[in-house]
Amino acid sequence: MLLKTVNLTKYYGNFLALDKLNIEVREGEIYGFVGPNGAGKTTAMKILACLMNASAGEAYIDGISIMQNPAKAKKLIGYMPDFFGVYDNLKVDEYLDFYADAHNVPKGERGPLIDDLLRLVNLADKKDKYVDTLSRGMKQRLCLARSLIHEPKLLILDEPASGMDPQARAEMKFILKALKAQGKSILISSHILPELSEMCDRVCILSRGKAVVSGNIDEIMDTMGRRAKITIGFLADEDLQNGVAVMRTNDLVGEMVREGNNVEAVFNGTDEDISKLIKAFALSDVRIVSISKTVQSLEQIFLEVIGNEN
Amino acid sequence: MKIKIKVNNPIISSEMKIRMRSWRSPIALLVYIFILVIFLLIFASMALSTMRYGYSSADYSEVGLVIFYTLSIVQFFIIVLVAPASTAGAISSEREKQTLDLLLCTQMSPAKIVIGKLVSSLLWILLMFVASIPLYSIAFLFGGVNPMAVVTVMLYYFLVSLTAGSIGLFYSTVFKRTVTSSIMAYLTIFLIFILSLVIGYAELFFLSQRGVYPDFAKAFYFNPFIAFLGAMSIALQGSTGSNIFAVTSYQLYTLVIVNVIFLFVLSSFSLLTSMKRINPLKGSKR
Ligand SMILES: Nc1ncnc2c1ncn2[C@@H]1O[C@H](COP(=O)(O)OP(=O)(O)OP(=O)(O)O)[C@@H](O)[C@H]1O
Ligand SMILES: [Mg+2]
Repeated sequence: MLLKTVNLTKYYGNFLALDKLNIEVREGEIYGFVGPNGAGKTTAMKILACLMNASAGEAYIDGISIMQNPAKAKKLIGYMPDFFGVYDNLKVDEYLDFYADAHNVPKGERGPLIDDLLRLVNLADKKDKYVDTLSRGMKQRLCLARSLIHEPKLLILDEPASGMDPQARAEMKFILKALKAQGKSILISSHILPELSEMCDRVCILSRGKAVVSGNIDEIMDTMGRRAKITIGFLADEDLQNGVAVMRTNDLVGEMVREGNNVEAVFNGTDEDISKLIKAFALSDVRIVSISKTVQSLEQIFLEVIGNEN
Repeated sequence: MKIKIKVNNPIISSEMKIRMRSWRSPIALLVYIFILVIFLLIFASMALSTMRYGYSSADYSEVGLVIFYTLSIVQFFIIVLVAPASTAGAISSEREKQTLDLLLCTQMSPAKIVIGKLVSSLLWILLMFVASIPLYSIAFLFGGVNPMAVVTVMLYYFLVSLTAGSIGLFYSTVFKRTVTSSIMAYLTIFLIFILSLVIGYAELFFLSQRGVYPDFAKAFYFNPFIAFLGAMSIALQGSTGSNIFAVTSYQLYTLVIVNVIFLFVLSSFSLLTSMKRINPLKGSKR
């Protein structure tokens, strides 16, 4: 286990921003923090980057306590904040050299390292440009390179793709996957679950400072129930009346909405359960003309999870 | 013997690089020297025009002293004005630009960051002193001045710019905006100068009511300018025997020593507090 938090808690005055967070990030995995605005993602990440004290709890990186030994922990962590700026009057390579120096990277190693990183983030041709002339997406990639300058084991990236266009987002995703292939572990936050679900091995959904669910996407879908919507078309009104009666006796059927001769219902079961429902219609002589199933998207599940919490 | 000074502070090397690159730096230096020369010309010509006929070497050394005092005093106030401004943005501009967190999550300790910011500002002021040294040679041409006096002046400049710079730095950790921290730094320094004078004169006044007439008020010890004049006086005693204040040299030494200690305490306090203030994990080790 590369990163482990134990009941990590943060109060801002009386306000509980992070409530007993327990997460574990394994070596070589991408771990996602998802949650709406104000969920506590940045708070958790700043504590892990040694930029803020926790009110209670512990965190360990590679077995080192972040609270007891921040200087050592910082060597293992590369942090990219959600908002950041750059110095004027510095060129791209000087900018990276400055942070390499600040991380005590020996002078002899910096040159090749900077070249490698610039290639990784696709800025090799901007080496001699002034940092403040770069576009926002470029600055974000440069900041990513900066967070890698001391070759940390864990990257903590706070919404690294915010404010980027779709192409830049895809590019960022590609870079992160390449880093994962190099063996880096990444803790990344976003308020968009589908965006993370593609590249994260596991995610943790945060809401109001609490971890609501965590695990890999499949596990989360299981925990939340594989909810689907089914739409059934009945032949006549009497079939619809009888059909609704049948569905009322089924525990797996949730809320129903009628539309003409169609009924749209929330269904909490598997495909096998659907076939049983169809059989039950047949046994009651309910004539159905059509049936269709739509699985709820990750985003809908996410919104529901968060909605239940609030 | 070869002494290798290793500047192992990324902030210093990077800020020096940026400063050297900017076209503003040489121009600022030129303007600075120009201001000094103007003052020098005005006061030197005034001194020369009041010179009696039948020039004696004593008259020439009078002119040398005038040039020396003019240069030293004008520079003193320029430094008091420049030093706090050059550090007042040190931390607040990092906050404004949102780069402070990036710095704090490196291996640089808050102490190293504060020292780096201070030294890179002071080095610039040091360059200003050094650029003014050739002007002092004009004073030597007339005589009345000794090299020790120039060294004393430079040491005092260093101390005053250290203190004023530290105060500016301290306020830059308190306020989010550079403008606010500049204003507060100037206000604080202004108060140190004015309060020590006002309290000093009040002291003398109240003592005189009781029929006591001391040469010097205790509060004057805390006035950097008075102590600066005292220090110059001590250094020049050897060559001219002149003494700006009508006090014993014991009192002159007390004045300078107390003031030097006061300035050191003030700058240490400002710097230590600044280091504490930017440490995000202050009061940790639960
Ligand atoms: N310095 C602070 N002082 C007081 N409250 C704070 C502070 N920083 C954050 N908070 C509060 O803590 C809660 C969590 O904030 P945090 O920034 O961690 O959320 P987040 O998940 O990163 O949100 P976002 O998606 O907007 O970045 C919010 O309600 C916020 O208002
Ligand atoms: Mg945030």
